[in-house]
Amino acid sequence: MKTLLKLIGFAALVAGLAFLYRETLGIDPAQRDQVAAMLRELKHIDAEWDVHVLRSKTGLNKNYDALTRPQVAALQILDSAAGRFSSLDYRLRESEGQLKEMLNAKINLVDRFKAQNSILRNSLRYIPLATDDLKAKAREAGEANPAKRAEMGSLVQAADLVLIDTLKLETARDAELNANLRKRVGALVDRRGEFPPTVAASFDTFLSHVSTISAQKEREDEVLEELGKLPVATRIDALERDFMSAFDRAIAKREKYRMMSYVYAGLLLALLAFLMGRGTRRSLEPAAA
Amino acid sequence: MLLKKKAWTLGLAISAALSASPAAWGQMLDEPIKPLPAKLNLDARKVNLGKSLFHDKRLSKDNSLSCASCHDIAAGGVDGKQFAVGIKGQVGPINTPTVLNSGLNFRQFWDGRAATLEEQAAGPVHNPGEMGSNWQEVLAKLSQDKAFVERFKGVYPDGLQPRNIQDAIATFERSLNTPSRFDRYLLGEGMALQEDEKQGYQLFKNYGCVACHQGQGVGGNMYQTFGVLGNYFKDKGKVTDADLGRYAVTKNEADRHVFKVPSLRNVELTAPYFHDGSAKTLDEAVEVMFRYQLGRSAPAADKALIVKFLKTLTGEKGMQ
Repeated sequence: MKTLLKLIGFAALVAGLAFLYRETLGIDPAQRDQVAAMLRELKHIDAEWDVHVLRSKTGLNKNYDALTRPQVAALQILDSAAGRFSSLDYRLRESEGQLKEMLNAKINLVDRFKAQNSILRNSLRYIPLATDDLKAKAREAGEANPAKRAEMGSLVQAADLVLIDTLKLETARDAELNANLRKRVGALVDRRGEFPPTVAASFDTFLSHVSTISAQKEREDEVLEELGKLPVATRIDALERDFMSAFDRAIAKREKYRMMSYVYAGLLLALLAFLMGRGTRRSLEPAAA
Repeated sequence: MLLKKKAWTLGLAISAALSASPAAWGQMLDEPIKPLPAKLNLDARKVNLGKSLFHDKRLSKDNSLSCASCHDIAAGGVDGKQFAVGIKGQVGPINTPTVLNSGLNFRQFWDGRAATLEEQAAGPVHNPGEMGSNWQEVLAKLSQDKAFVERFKGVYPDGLQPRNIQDAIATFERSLNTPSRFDRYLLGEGMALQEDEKQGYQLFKNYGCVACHQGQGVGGNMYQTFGVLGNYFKDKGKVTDADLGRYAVTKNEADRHVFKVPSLRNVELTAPYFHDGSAKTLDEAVEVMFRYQLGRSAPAADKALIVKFLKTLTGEKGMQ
């Protein structure tokens, strides 16, 4: 029984040492630099992403691949960074979750932007041709029917004004201009029933593109505004700060455990020395007697 | 006089050479469509394992279908049917998208519900209307195949696992890139295309098809509403759940009838077209695109040239 108690006591002492030793291993100092580098890369990707949105808006980007690649890359980097820091502090998961949510919101907005921008650019490209076609049909109809000449002449003029407003709208965000454009188009729509069939068909095409530009421009501006308001970079900085604090706390904790393990090991050695000394004395006692 | 004539001829030759397209000079063209990557950095062992899994009918509940049953790689990565057919002859709600070049897609499925090919690979296996199985059943069957289990162990330290099955299939699918004559043209080989095909490409850009079908995949990198400048679904009549597109995933009204823009690579081989398989021919599909996506008309000759260009996107090397 005594031997068993001794064995249990010995095992407990060794387990205590093992626990302290394990706590000193919990963190790799290189982790700090690795995660910091990943978050810096994420910030860089995010900044480039914004640049490519603007390049696409102005037509400098010839395709949307540069807007699509960061969608995967950003989430992958965040996931691998999270894999390295998630065990440090549960509060980091919350911070990571907020950033992920923001990145997903950005992905959705960029997806909407791509869809709207492609339509907008197509209609803006086509609207001068659609206007020319409408004007040509109106002139033909006016020449064929003198009674309609004045009406067709005013349609030609109105089409030009709509074209000017439409092209102006491309260059700036102007709600008033867009409202005026809609009014102008609305007045033309009211007259559509009076147009000869060939003019009406051409007018429908013209109208659908003007309406598309008006609507898509408004939506694109909204999407860009929302994108501008998304503080992804700030959120990355916040996550980095949280990570650094958690890391420093973990390092401090590790150092504390290291000190404790040294003291504990010292005490164990002292105990061992004491026990060995006692054992030696006991073994010598009968001889002396 | 002779010297003057020679100088004139030389000048003419130089100016002709300078005005020639970059393609004639062997330079890579700066176009909205980009060539496929020359080299894929994939683990050949995973590709081979994925290929075996892709053709393995044990992935379906009744061992009747493999991924290749719907995605026939030698036939453009599709089944040629209007709608996919699952186990017990169940006809699905949507057209089978091609698996070729699917690694270039920014999302998977018509409605983009899978973010990755790995995620996508699990979809049909679990869909009761497709393969109707689950990982438990698949693992039970595959684990009886000792050779297969050994192959898995050789590639993945943790052996036969659902995530490893998904990874192997996805890696194989990423290997299915199909370089075409048009890629050679983009890389500077001007003679790779005939004149009418080049004209077709010019028209493809001028009419605005390229606004959505661009990038390395010639599509597959964005969503778009089907029926931008015309109400396709109103004209079509009966609207099905599959017609809802991305709305079925997000429940956001703005996503109604929004689909992933499909890649046009190998489009010559992937009829019938669209998510509803409603266009039987490429000419028909181009016609629908002009009407509902571009909101304009074009002479038949221009459309024919565009179709000629689209056929240059067919992969040159046969896929097995």
